[in-house]
Amino acid sequence: MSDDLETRIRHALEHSLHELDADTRRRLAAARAHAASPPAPSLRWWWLPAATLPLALIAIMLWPQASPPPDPSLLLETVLEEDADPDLLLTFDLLLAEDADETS
Amino acid sequence: MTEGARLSAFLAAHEARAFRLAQFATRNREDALDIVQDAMLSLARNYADRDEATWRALFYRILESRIRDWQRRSWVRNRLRQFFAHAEDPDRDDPLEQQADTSAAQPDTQVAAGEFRAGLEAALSALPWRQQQAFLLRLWEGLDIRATAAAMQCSESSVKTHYARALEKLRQALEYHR
Repeated sequence: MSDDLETRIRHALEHSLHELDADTRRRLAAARAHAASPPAPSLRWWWLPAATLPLALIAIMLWPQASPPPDPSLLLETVLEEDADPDLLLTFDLLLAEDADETS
Repeated sequence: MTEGARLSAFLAAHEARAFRLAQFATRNREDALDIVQDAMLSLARNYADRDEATWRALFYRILESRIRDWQRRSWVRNRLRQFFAHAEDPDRDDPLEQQADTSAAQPDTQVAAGEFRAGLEAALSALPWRQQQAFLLRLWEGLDIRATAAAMQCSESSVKTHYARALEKLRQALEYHR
């Protein structure tokens, strides 16, 4: 009896598929077409090229200014071009001597 | 045949049954359409590159998962609705108000004699969801026990139990239409 009932149920359910209304069928077809179509190219990274330049500028501005220590000899030359104070010259001489000691 | 065309052909062959399955579970056309659309998209986006032979099991597994998600959301929504309705309803202690409407479970009182299919739909809708899905996936969709268990994410013995109970309930409910 169960086999007979199962068969009847299967037939009834199959028959019900043919009675789906037109709007339901149309919407199912639209959903299918949407699912089966290739996905649109992702716009997730569109901003990356545009953001590169501002990011680079910010990075340059924030980069630590690692300027080398002033060269005492250059400073001395600068001072000599001016009206040099003898005491200042002596200071620079001492500075140069210390620097020479450190490097040797 | 391109992958998109093969996928479209697969979905065309299964969309109506999937819709009816979801409709039996949700008893709501719009929700069923949303669930099927979501399952279609998920299959296409995540599993289209898999072997075509696996699509059916995957599709029904996704569908089951979406129905389960819908039921969880529904349960929360109904609980909230009941809570607020209970708080506002002055007749909440009236026993007649608390009486469940069992007409959906009694097709003989709801549909005309001899309308086997109407009685079947009412009886199927009245089944517990797990029994309903096990029955429909096995009998209608033709999944074997292993595939049904995989789709329902339960054991094979559970599928057998659900199926047997569903069939017994349907037999009792449809006795009138024999």
